[in-house]
Amino acid sequence: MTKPLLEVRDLNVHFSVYSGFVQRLLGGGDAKVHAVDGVTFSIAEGEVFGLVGESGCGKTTIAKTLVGLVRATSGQILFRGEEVTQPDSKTLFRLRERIQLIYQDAHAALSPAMTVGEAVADVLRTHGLPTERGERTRAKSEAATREAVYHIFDDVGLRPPSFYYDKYPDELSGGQKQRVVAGRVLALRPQLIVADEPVAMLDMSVRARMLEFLMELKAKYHLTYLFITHDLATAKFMCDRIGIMYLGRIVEMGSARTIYANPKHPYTKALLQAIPIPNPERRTVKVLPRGEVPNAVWPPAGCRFHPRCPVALATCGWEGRDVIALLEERWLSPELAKREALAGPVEEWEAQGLMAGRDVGKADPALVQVLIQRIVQETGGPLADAIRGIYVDGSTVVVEFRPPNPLVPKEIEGRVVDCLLY
Amino acid sequence: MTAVLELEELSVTFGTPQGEVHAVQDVNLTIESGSITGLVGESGCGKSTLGRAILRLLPDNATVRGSIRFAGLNLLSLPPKEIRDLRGRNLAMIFQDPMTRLNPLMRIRDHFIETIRAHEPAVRPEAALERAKKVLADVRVPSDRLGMYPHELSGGMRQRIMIALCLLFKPALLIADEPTTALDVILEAQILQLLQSIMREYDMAVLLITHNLGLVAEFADRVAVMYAGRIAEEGATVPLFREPRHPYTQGLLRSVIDLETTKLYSVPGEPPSLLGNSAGCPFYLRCEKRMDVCKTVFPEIRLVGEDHRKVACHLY
Repeated sequence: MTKPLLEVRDLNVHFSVYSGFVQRLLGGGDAKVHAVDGVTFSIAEGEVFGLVGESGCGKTTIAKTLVGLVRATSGQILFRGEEVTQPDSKTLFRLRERIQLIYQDAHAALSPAMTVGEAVADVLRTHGLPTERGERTRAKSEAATREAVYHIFDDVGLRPPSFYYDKYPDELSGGQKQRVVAGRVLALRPQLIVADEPVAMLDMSVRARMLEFLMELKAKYHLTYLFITHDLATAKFMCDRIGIMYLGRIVEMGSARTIYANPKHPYTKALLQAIPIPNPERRTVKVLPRGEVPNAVWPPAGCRFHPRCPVALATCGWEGRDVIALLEERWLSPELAKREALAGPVEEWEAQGLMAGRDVGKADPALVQVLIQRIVQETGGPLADAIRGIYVDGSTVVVEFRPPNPLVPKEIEGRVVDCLLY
Repeated sequence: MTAVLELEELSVTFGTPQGEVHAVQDVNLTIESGSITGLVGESGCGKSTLGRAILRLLPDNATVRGSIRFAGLNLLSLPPKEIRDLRGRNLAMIFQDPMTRLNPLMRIRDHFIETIRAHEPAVRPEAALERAKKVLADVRVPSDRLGMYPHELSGGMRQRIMIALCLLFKPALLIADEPTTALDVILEAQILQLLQSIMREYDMAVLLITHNLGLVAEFADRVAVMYAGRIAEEGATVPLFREPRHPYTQGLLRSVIDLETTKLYSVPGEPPSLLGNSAGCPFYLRCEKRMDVCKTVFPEIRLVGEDHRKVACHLY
């Protein structure tokens, strides 16, 4: 394998949750969204690397961090071995000539008040015209700039270029706008293109055309792609290697062929299983993960997927709030809620770290303790196995868990997996 | 099986400064009780307009012609008050983005109380809340969510609450317009599984409007494929996917990218403008099997073959 074009090492991007002045004074203001949490990957020259995950998993934040639109909290980003993690404005200016971003919505990426020709010309005026030797020169005249834009339009299939130069974005179709955006990106002769959901807005019947176009550009300009998508099927078709992201972390990473042939991480398996199959003769009953992606301000302890994981172990990170989720789920049944009313309502349970507790007030805590013990026993599974003890502390009934085992990425069967099963 | 809803020669035209836009043209469609009918098509094909036309939710510049038969009534000739009474009670609709359908200034409980009292003003708030708790349990939402505001809930919870609001009066038909497009793939599957089980429990029919052929294949009993405001092909799901007949359906199915895709395909060209009247088949310019007749004569939809398939194409 050649030397990596891009290396990302232990990248963290955290956003402060906005909170008011008073709240900050009272000390509640340090809540952070863990958008990207310890992500490491590299992209070799000429490769298509895919970051795949659901909304909120951090894939777009990584894209924005790479082009300097978002600052890394910690970690390292190296482009051709050069550190570009916290670029100053001059480094950033040069960096953007080498790394460019294609957005999901081509319409929103173009100014409605600027002709598409001018949109590209503007880039050339700012950065200069690329020369054969990889340097840039200032255009000698406006006519030369215009000529260069024509050339680019011709390259991206907007022909004849003079017809398109003076058009406004709303006069063009979705596919044509995507080509303008691609042209504007290519005007800088970048080496790495970060494509953030480039086909998500397009209709199925024309989606393939955009993907083919991206592949043509790649071959023609020897590009490297970071391809960001929520769609596992598109990623399978486009990518050489992929990283599956969940809640700010890469949970499985390796060659696309290996991962699709034999996914290892339970989350990867769940994602693959959830894709609807366009063949009604192959309908199956799907076993889906419970619930939804949790809030990234308070990511779950241990493995972030553990509360939803169908094959979780007792050591995966069970904690106080999982008890509350269990009670909530259980008491969806009105009969159970009534029969176990002594231990409820669920709103009166509080979780803190490995513990969950409820102040039972004047009720007999020993009775609640027994009831909770029975509920846990009936539920069984890894959550029950992870409990250190259920005890009474004054008038409070407490459920306490054992701490989780540390999660270390492991290399197994040709890919890296972040899971305690292996 | 009995028909819950019958559309006959339904057309919707929007008056615009540029001229008339024929968003829906001459659509005939029957929705059977206890079934899911998938209405599938790409953006701008008229599928959402069709859904809204049924509930008479279209703006004032829309002209609707034809008939919409529901429970022995023609919805198009009902006075607004009666239509309002049917909405939410007998006919319900959920939309793509539940956040924009819930009032951000109202707690979830007040959405339920308001909906119930809109139809039954005499119901006391406490009694309304009891009913709310029952339907919430059916969509697996804990009842403490009743005290929350929409922004405090996750996208999946919001869509479940929208469904629960629809279930309050056990409607005969639920129109689901891209109900999961704003959701991720795992949640999407969860919500559709939920819709399917609720449909059986409540004995409803569902009209599932979507651009996603995979969803239709997995959940619909019958499929109608729309193109440029018209139904191009309609039939039972299994035979239609096994042997699509309309060249557009064939192209659409070939262009789906799934885990087994090894070669990309896209339908050439772009959908036509719906502005003004045009002769011939709307798919003519993009069709790989076009004939001379297609340019000038519109192909009426008719029964083709033995599986009760209807196709609008001169090839058959």
